[in-house]
Amino acid sequence: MLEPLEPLIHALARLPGIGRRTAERIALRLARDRSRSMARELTAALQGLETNIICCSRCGAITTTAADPCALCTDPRRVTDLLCVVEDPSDIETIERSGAFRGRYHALMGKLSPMRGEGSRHLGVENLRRRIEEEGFTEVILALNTDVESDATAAFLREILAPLDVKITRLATGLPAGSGIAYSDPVTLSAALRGRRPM
Amino acid sequence: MIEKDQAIVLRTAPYSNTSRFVLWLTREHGRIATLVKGALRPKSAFIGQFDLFYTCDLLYYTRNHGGVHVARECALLKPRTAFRTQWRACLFASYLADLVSRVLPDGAPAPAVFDWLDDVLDELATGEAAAETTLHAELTFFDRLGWRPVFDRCAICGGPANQTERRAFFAAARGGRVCAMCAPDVRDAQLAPADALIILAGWQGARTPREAKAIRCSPRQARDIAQLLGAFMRHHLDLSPESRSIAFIG
Repeated sequence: MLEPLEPLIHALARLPGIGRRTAERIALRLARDRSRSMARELTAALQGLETNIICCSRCGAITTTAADPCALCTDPRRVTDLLCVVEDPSDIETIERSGAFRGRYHALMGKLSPMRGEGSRHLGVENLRRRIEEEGFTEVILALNTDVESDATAAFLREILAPLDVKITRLATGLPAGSGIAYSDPVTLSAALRGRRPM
Repeated sequence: MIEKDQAIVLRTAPYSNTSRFVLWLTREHGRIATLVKGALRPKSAFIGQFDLFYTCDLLYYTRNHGGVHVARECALLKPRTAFRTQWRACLFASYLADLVSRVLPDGAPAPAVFDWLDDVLDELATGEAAAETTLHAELTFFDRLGWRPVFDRCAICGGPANQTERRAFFAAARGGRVCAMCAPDVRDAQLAPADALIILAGWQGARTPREAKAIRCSPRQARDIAQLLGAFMRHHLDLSPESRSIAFIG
């Protein structure tokens, strides 16, 4: 019965967070809509994405083809000697929302993860190195996640960027706000102790 | 039903905003998948208790439908924090976890493979000779699966390997080393570096892990050994994982 919907189900199921069953439900919902308004809206949005939306050629943030490099890369009011390296463009959005950083960004588009088919060649390290040299950053902040693979990626970047004349820093890790020592795990607690600071 | 087992994290993936899907290798129940509900919530009891290559004590509710169980409790036994700073070792650990997750079927007990992976991860976490450790681990993994390659004699006639022989042959389909007499009759026999075959035979013959560790190889020999074991894996396990080339080549 679902055979005519198979190409759509297959395409939907490739999206993150959508399994086969969810893809079937979405496809059926679209097929049941007699007015076809939902399908038209979705088609227009996807076509708009295909023609107008890209990742910034400089930092990797989501932008439009008309604004490439993106506003974050061209805004003269931003600090130009600080570079924040993130794993994914969505992290740029998260950090921007915090309002705590006003420098430039660079999205790696992944992390070292052989099991997901991502190695050092997939991280575009040459591009990052070129940017650091050409744009004259004085500090590179590695704002990566704190899982094993992200920490290993940070160690890899530190090694690759060490020959460059730039300060390399990492986001602090430690006890979450509002939590207690009794509830923290050994890895977090040891990171918090290593990262202690004078007061 | 609730099960309790020791488990190594092979892979994690997001399930929802705060929940994770985790693939484990358990000692008594083999490869299993669990949902860890609310794993990323700030006050979750799972925070910091599991990540890749950790060995944990896992308590989970079994679910017969769909094959995905639900984690109830997880207590960290070995975090192997060295993988966070030794990125090369982390790449090899990632490849080995990928290999195990591809080869083992769901729910089939494999205590020998669990012990093997636990030991290999401990060894890799020391950060010493990660490539050699991984190659040796591949060899012992084939053993555990019942696919022991032959390096100390000819896989066809059984004649002893001549240690002084300069030209040696290897045939993945025949299970290992092939002598110069038998090689012309074997279609897939390829010239192989004799020193690489000698190292492999030495690793196999070692009585203890320490004895095997004492047999070192140069980077060139490691590349040759990786090629031979890769050919063996392709033929017998029908596997040529991308994670392997990323770990060995970059």
